Amino acid sequence: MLDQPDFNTLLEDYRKLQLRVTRFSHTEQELINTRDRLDQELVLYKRMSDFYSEALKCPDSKTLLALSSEAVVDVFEFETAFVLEQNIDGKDDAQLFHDGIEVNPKEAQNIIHDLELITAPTQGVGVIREKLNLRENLLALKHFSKAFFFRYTDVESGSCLVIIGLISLKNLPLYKSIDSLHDTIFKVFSQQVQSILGNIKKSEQIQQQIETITASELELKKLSLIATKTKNGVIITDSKGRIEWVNDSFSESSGFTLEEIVGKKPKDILHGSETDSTSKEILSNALANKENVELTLLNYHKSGSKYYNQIEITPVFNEQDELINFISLQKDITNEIKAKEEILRINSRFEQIAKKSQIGIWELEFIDNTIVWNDVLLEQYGSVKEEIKHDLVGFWRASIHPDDIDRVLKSQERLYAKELESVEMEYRIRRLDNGEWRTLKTLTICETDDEGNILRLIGSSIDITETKQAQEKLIASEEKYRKLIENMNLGLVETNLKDDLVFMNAPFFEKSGIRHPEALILGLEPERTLQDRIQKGELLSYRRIDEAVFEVEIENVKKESLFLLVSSGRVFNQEKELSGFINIILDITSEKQLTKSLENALKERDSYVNELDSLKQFYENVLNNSPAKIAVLSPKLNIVFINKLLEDQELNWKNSEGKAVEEVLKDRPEFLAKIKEAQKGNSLVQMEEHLLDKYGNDKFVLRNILPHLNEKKELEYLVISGVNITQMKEIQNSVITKNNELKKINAELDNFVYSVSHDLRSPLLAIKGLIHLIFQTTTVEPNVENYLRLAEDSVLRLDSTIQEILDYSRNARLDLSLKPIDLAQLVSTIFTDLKFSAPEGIALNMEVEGSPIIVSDETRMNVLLKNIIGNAVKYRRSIPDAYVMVKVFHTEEATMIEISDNGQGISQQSIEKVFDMFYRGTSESIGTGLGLYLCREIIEKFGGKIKVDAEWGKGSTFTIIHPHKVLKHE
Amino acid sequence: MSKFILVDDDSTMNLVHSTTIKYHKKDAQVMEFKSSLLALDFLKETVQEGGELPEYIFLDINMPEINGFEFLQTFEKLPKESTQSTKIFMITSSLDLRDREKAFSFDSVYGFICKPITVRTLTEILSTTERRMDF
Repeated sequence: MLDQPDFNTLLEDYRKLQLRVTRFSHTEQELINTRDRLDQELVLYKRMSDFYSEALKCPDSKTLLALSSEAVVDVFEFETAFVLEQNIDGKDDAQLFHDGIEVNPKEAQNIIHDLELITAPTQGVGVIREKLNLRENLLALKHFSKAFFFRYTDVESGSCLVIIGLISLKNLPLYKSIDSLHDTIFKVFSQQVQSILGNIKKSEQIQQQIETITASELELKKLSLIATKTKNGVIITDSKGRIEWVNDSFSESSGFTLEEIVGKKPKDILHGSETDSTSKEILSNALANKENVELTLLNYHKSGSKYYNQIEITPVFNEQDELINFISLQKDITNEIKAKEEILRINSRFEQIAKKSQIGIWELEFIDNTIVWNDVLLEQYGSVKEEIKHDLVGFWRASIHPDDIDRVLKSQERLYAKELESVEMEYRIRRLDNGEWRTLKTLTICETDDEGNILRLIGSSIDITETKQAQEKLIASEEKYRKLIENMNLGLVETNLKDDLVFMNAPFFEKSGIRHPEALILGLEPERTLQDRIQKGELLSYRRIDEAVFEVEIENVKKESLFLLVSSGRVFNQEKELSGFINIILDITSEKQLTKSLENALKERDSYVNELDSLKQFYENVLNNSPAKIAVLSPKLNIVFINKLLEDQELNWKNSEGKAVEEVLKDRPEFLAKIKEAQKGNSLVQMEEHLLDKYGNDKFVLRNILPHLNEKKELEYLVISGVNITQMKEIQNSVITKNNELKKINAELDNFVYSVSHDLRSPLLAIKGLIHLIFQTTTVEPNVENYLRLAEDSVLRLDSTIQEILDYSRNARLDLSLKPIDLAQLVSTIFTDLKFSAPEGIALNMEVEGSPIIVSDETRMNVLLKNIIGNAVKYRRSIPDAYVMVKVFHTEEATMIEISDNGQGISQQSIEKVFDMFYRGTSESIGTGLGLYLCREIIEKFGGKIKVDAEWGKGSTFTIIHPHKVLKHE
Repeated sequence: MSKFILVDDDSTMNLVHSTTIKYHKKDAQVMEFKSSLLALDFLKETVQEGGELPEYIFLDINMPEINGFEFLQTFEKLPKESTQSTKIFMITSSLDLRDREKAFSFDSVYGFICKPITVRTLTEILSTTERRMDF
């Protein structure tokens, strides 16, 4: 028997064993774990090494980055991965790759934004363990939960590399064991990527440099091509100025080839005797100082001909600032220079022309405000430069006429305001030397640059005083001709194309009584127009005489047919366009008639040609027996014939046939002069000769000297006839004397009548006044009152008789004195006067149709109207509506004054006699019987009439017909 | 009280006129002149002594010595301030229109009246203030 083991001890041991086993299996598990991890690590490293071998083959950084982004997923088994490469400063050229594919820049933006938020500012490896979606501001990567990233910033190259692997929340449990392992390996991986990227980038840079160098080589080639092909000459010298190279253009313009001149100095071959020495000095100084120089130089061609060269020389330095070359660009500007010279020559020629044609020219430069006047302009202002040069503008303004200055300055202002580019003006200026006013026509032009700023004003000025005067004269003479035409016996009608009348000398048409002068406008087709007008009855007939000349028959207002010669012409305006028609019209009616009668006479003459001799005999007989003294002279003033009377009565003419009249009348120079006048003027000359007869008595002879013309209007002979007018003369003289005496007597008589009437009336009026007084101041017995009334009536009748006799005498003897008189005024004055004698019971009315003004003799008209209206009042009836009505109206020929009443009227047997002298209608008439007689006398003196229409007991109407035009009779 | 001066060589006419005036206007003071020269002298003296000229002058045209028109010429040469309140009426037996026209060429003439003046004419003369061609 074993010792009875203690159970407890046994249990203890078991427990210990148990523990050991547990510990062992734990270790075993650990070992397995480690092995697994190492396995996994191995796998990762293996994958990594595959990636490296791939990565090293990458041709450029882009491929590498794409590959890396793919590799992060492949190697580490992240869910997804991004690789970002970008510059620190500018993020424009950022490149983002996602699982091996480049993300386009638009989509990349949000992701880059998120990557920056997640990784910055960490450098190296980082792990985000909390959920990304808890972070604010994430735009694209919100749904990821965990991230491994690597961020590396290369300060030297300024680039930043970000590599990130991401795991989403959903898949997080699958990646539980990833942590510790990945940390290190991810770091290694990232550093590897970064270093490979660095290498690739460097090689890329080198590649780029190589490319640049290649490109600049190309550029150089191009440049040398340009230098060769350019039209400008190019010379390249060494630092000493010796020619190394020239291009073809230089050879062309200078004539030298490169071979000929290489190694020589340009100045030795190009400069010649006429090359400007100052320019040469500037050139060599600049070269010595190694400076840029630009100038124009006269150069010589190989052949010796000259040309202008614009030269620009540039020194070329190497990097050590040593002078290595001069490059000289040359341009042949001979043509430009010549053109410039030509312009100068033209300018001076223009100046010459301006001077010769007296055009004043001025220029105002705006930059420096300088003004230049040419000599002509100074001359126009009558000044010398020295006098006014200190203030040309002030002088100019002071010279302008005060009436013009405002207008001139205003125009100038508009020019300054750029409202106008040029201004044309006319104004007056006062010359400085003689104070004379002259008129200038000026043109001012404003020159501006491209931006519209005023550069200068240029002006020209012409003295047009004389032209202006001539123009005014022309206008005046035009007026004169117009008047002349108007008074000429020649018709002119001008119309425009619309047939409106433009001009017509009315007097011609009034005189000839042509109603429609425009019917004579013939227009473009005269014949057609004429036919039209004949059809319309405006013209009677026409006959074509010349291309544009027609003989037209037309009827005037007096129904006479007129023959007109119408010449149709066209009017052109300044642009030489047809603007109207002008017709010249000649009245040939009388010529036409003359021609006809002449034709008849010619015919007659032909038939009588055989009887010429007997005709001559007949005329001689007639002439010899004529009561006139007749002489016939040849055109050369030899006496051809004298009649017997002349030969008998005037001694000079005795036996004078065949003699020269000059000899015959040598003691009668006046007579001789008249004969010559008739000979020269081809028209009738009359004279009155005062002679003494053989008894010494006065004798007057009237001489007619008639030139006789043949058909060709040549003088054939002069016929002198003389008539003794002594008796006639005596009678005439006595008539004139008697007439004068009569006039004197008339005037005296008028004076006499005036005084007598006054002297007769004065006491009469005194009596009238006294009777009035008696009635006013005292009460008289009825029969005395009756006597006094009768006395007053007698006084009144005597007074009116005196008045009428006075009026009658006046009318008979005094001349008419015509002036415009107002009938309305005259009648109303008469009405007022009459109211005193017939104050009540009659209405006085007047009606005037048209103007109340007529031209007449006021005194006579007053007497006439006073008499007739007075009668109407005097012979009124005592009825309630008694009236007198005066009506004035006008007819075509006369003014009618109608005086009607409803008075007593005139009986049938009286009506024919009312206008007779001293006729009195009734025994109750108060008048003299002169009144109406006087009225008729007066109106007949005016050339008018008076009519009466009346009925006994009903009323009468007197009508005065007063002609519009009263004729004065001597 | 109105002052009147009558100038007429016909003394009967003066009598008729002065009576008519006084009859019509009881307080009127009327002076009659048969001689136009004396009338003028009186007016001149009145002016020299600083007296007041009459309100109305009735003047005949046809008179010996100086006629009515010559009277007017002299009268209008007197100082304006003394003559301006005087109205002259031509009283005449002339019917000649030329006389009437001539009369109105003088500023101081207010009317042209045919003799004799009646009470009716006088009433109109005294009530008028303007120059009138006819009464």
